[in-house]
Amino acid sequence: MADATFTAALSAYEGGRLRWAAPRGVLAGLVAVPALVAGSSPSRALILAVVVIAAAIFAGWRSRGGLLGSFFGAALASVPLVMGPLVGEACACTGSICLSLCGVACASLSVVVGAAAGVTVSRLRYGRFDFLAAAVVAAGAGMTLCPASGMGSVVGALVGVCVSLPSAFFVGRALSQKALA
Amino acid sequence: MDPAVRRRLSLDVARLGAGDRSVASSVFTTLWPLCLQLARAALHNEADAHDAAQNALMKLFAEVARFDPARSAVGWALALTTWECRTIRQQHRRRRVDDGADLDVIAGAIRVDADVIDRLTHAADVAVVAAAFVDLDAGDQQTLTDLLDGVSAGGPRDRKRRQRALERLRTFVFGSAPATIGDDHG
Repeated sequence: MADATFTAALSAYEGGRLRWAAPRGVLAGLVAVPALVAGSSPSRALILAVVVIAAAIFAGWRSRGGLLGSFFGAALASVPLVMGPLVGEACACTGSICLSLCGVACASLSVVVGAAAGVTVSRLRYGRFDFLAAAVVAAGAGMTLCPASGMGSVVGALVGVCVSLPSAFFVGRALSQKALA
Repeated sequence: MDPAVRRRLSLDVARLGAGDRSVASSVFTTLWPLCLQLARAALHNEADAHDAAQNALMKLFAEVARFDPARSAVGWALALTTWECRTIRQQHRRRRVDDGADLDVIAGAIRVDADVIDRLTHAADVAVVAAAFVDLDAGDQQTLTDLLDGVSAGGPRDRKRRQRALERLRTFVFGSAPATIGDDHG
């Protein structure tokens, strides 16, 4: 009796997780909104939205960390999507060195996203791998639209997050360990 | 339950809510006996108790993603079980009434001692009374059987016993305060 009940409870658990993740996963699809509004390639933006939503629902069903990761991935992908059209490919030159303004803006904004992601993942007790995997999938899918905004913006966003995420993670972990001690 | 075990269980339920399936078995094996024990005490029926405990745990597992780690997992599980016990009791009550409504025709065709039945229920429904009769304890059933068989009351004490048995039957038929049934056999 207890075994059958346990099996039924597990089925209810998986169904409950899916019901919990589905509406939240749809939010991650908002990453496609800037691309849809900008109108450079609405069909690609729609496909992107479907991919990100499906990935977010799957990640959320697996764990709460996965859902958070897909949010951060979508946020990271949104940075060049938004900043590209805003800043354009203008350059700021100092002497012989010229920097893409879009790249710099994306790197700066991505530092904030990466820092928030690093602190969040340091506080997760379970599902860190899910977090990172979902973030990579959502960011990767989102950035397929970014060449329209310029490769400089994509590179800037990736550099920004790669610098800030690990450092914020280690700082967050050190702080939480200090608080526990 | 030991407070440390309680805290541990709440943490395990929080982990389950975060998606860690490895703790599902330990959460279930800890909560199942507690829920079953409460349901048995509330329903006095093994099958109903299993149904209530099962429904409660299924709801807990389905909703565990929304669990707030600041709350007590044991308290949540027992609250769900109490709610399920209440639901099962209400279902039983409704079934009694529904069965009675379906059997109105049969009830009308059967000649029953009007003196006993008409005082019990407005519908004079034999099926309802019979269902309620089964729920009475053995002492009350014997008292009412004697009454229906025409066995005369031996004295004031027997009459009082019959009156109390009829009161309990009435309570069952109208579906109120079943917990008071069987407290006293005169």
